[in-house]
Amino acid sequence: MTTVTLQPKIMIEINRESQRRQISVDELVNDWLKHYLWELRNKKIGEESKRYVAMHAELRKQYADKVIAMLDGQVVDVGDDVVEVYHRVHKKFGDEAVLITKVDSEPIKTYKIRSPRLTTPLP
Amino acid sequence: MSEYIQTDYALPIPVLHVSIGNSDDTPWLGPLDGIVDTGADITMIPLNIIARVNAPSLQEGYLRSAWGNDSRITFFIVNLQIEQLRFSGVQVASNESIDEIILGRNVLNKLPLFLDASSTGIILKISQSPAWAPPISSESTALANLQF
Repeated sequence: MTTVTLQPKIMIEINRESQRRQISVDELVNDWLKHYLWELRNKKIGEESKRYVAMHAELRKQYADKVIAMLDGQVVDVGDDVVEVYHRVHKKFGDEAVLITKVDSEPIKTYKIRSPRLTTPLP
Repeated sequence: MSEYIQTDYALPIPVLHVSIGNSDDTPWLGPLDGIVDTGADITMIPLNIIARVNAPSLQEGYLRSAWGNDSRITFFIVNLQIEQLRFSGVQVASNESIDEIILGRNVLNKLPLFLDASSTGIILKISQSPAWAPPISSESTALANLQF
């Protein structure tokens, strides 16, 4: 367990929010930090995606149709299956934001949704 | 009367009960309604659900609508339980605009589904358990959901 000292002004707001939600301060702060770290990880994946797109032509020459894991612009794992690579990477790097992608002919894959929905009643 | 009739669906729609989890100790979320959409390449889950199970992101991509509009999405890896079948390491897409669970073909193509929408309502059955996705219960047939 780590003890963190919070500023009194922040502590007042945290107490107020924990009372409003009827959960403990510990639970509230842990939830917030967990969510913040999750968002931070997504942001890092976004940045890594940009690096991947910029390097795609070069990577395609070496890793065509392979699944790669990329951290800070460096390929840290290679395989044939996304889930297998994910498990290896997770074991090695924990919750670190590591991009995992198949090196297809296009750098960013587009999926299609062909099912429009009626938002008004049928005539 | 089902909740779908009371909302914005003009016609009954087939759904399966879905629970979403992560490989860490975060509790599973569900069961929730997942719309069966064979026109969708990939399964989509609202971002708030993805956040609650703390699912890790893998990569970014695009979704193209029926009219050709592209939306930026992020791919996440989750564990899914659909009725009694559990799948680990499923790739799903999400962004701020996705507000319902859509089961796309990356998942549906692994299910032996039977759909009968001809009589009193939609009957959607998972007719048997694939060998690679053992059922959680001993029942081999899962009657999924009835929507009138």
